[in-house]
Amino acid sequence: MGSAARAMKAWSFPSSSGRVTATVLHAALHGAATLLALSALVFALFQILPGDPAAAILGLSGDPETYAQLRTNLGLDRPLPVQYGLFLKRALTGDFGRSYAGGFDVTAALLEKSRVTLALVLGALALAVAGGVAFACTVTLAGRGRWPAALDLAVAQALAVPPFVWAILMALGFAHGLGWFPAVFDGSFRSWVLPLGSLAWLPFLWLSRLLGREMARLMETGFAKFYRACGVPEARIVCVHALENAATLGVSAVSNVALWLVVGTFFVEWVFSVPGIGQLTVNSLLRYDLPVLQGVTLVIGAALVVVESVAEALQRLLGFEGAAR
Amino acid sequence: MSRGRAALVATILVVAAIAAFLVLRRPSASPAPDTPALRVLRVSLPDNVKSLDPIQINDVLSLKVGAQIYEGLVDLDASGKLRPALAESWSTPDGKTWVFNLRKDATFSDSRPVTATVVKRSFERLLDRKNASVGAWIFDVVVGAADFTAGNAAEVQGFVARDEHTLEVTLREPYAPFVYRLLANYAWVVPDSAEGSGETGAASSSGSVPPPPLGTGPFRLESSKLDQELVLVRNGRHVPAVSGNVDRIVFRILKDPLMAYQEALRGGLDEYEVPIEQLPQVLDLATGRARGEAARLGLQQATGMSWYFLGFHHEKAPFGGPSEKATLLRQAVQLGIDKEAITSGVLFGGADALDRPFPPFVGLPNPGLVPMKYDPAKAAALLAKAGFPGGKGLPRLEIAVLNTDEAKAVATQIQADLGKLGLEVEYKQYDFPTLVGLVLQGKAAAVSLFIEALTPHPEYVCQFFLTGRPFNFFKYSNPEVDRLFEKSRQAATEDDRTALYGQLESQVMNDSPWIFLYTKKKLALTRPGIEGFAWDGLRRSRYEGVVLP
Repeated sequence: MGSAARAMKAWSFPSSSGRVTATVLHAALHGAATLLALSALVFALFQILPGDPAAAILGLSGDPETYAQLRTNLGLDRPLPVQYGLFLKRALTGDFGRSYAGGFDVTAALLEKSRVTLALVLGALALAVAGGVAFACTVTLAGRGRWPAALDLAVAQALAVPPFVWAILMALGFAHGLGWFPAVFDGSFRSWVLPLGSLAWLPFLWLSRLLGREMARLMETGFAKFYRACGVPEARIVCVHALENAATLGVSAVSNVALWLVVGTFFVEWVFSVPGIGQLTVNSLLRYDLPVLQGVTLVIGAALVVVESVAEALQRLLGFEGAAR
Repeated sequence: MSRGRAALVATILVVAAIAAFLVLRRPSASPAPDTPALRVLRVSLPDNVKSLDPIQINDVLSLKVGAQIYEGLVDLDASGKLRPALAESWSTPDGKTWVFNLRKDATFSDSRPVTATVVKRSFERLLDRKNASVGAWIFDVVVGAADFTAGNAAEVQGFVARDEHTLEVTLREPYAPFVYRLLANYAWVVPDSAEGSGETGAASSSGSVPPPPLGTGPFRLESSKLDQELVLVRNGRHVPAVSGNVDRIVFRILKDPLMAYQEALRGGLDEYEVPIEQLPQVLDLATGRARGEAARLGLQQATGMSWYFLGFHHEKAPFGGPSEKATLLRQAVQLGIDKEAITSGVLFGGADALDRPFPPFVGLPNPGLVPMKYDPAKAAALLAKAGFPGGKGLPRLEIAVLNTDEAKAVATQIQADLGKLGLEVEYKQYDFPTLVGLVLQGKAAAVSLFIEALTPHPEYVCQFFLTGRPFNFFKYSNPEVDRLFEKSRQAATEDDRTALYGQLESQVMNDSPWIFLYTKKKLALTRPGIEGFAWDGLRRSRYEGVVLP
């Protein structure tokens, strides 16, 4: 009983459960306010763009009457506050309208594309974390508690190469050179390999180095000597005890990694023709497609708000634990 | 304890992420495109289509796909001759009344018959103001079109269904080349969906719901996935029966040109249209043949209908306007730009240089025309004659161009050529919608842009130079040009018309309202062993005759 209560207390926030509700509520309100501000900002920025969606659709062949009619059809002739108000009203019911440029239903497209991008980001996150942990442990073990300087340099060099260059290199190497995996996404399992791999690659390297360096540092301290003196096998010291300690650092870095993945998905989707949110965003920007642009901004904004809140909660959790000890 | 917890959190994170990935991943591989029973043609598309509604299509990609799904009354073969499509024959006694006899066996892919009333409704849909189509102008000569568009008439008086399969079109005045206007995609015939068409204009700020793409063409749309693919299947109801053996066309949307090219080399594409920037790898300029790795593939080439120019706004001095000084200046620029250097150098042989107003796709014989070829000495002389020897006294010329690498390279070449004459040139890059806005609002004095020509007929090309026409976006005006056009419209014979178009062209050449730069070629790599690739007279890929091995 006593230990269960302690565990409960350890996992929750300092005082009562009311405090937890308040915190969650606060986070939700904060998130909603952020998204509202974001949508207003996108709307405002869109108004000061030099081009306009009707011109983007009609091109050079539009006469003034057609142009005016199209603006009416798109609702662009209404006063700006009315336009924004209508957008908000519909957005609250989950309706982002129809794309100016393609005529498709924005909400449906967002749902479908989010699924693909979310799968890509989460899959890459799993790969990066699992791969990073495994690699750091292996290197630390093989290097007898050292993180080799040469490896550190190599990783630093690799991290300096931009993500899209890596994506293209992987496509050329593994798809066109060796022919192991398709470079063009078609939904099949094999076609996920290269997009996932190239998205996970840099976060994997970065996490490996973070964990590896920290573990190597720990192995030099009295910490390792203590376990060795107790007769704990080297493999267990590295893979369990050192990793546990280093992981604290890793978890606080996961939010960084997640942000990295969200941004990286833009290149990766482009290079491997993955039909996700990134592609949708690029299209909407090129075509002055406000409904789609609003939709993707809110989806990406919401994703970042969630990542940030979760990361914050994790850090508080671990930080609180640390302080209590 | 916290260390253990951190490791636990990391583990949960990984497990949750893997689980989420497996759940979110598309449940199974989409059915393999090459099911052995079906013959599949795989064609690359560098982007999504914007629309598959005939009256809204105004980009080459939508046109490429739409041309497989829809048909108009008439068609143009590769040699540029009219041929029957939905109309098996047509006639006009006076150029004013046109009678189209429709095929009696034609149906849409959903088996609804094509009747004269359906065609009339389809044409009226184009003219409906609510549908805001940029193509409505093609019927501006039809009796009652303006009234209908303005909402003053319930139908277009000039479109009359004489019987189930005879459509009579009456024009306001004789217009000999009228039938060529029916080649435009805007005149593709769609089924009558009266209940739907009323909705399209209903102004919800969410934009309109496009009707499902349904036509009479050799293929019909089966499915489309944004950013991924469009799948067309053979329309078994097409008449005459499709001559090739393609059961299914998969348009694969591949936005990265490098990846698309590699995919073509790998054999994952049967047709790949090569963008200009890849030509150095693909085309051997000296022989006009594919080179390097691409030599394994077939190379298809044709003159294209993308027409590039540098236009001067005619209400803006010193280059615009009908004055002699301005005309001399424009002529100097016309002669002072080395267009061959642009096409062979900057564009790697992927374009044809223009030395006359009517591009090669028009194919107009004009023995009386003196083409304006690159001649810097003459250009310098004209500049001096205009009162600006060596460019002295001229303000800096500012050119608005697109924000593409290609437009930049071309602008740089123009800058260098005119610089040699002493003209100071500066260019600014804009995205497409902004540049279009600048042109339409008359805000830029000089703009370098392009047009995807709708038809190769001289009548269409003339539209850009006639006073007050919507396409004359640089406000050029020459009463003599207008007069020659009016005459050509009423000319009795084809030969008379050709001669008049020739005179008109010479007049435009002399005025040089635009600097005619180049037309882009169509170049495509095709998988070896496949026969029957063809571009029609409008330079659209046609796949109904393609035979897969």
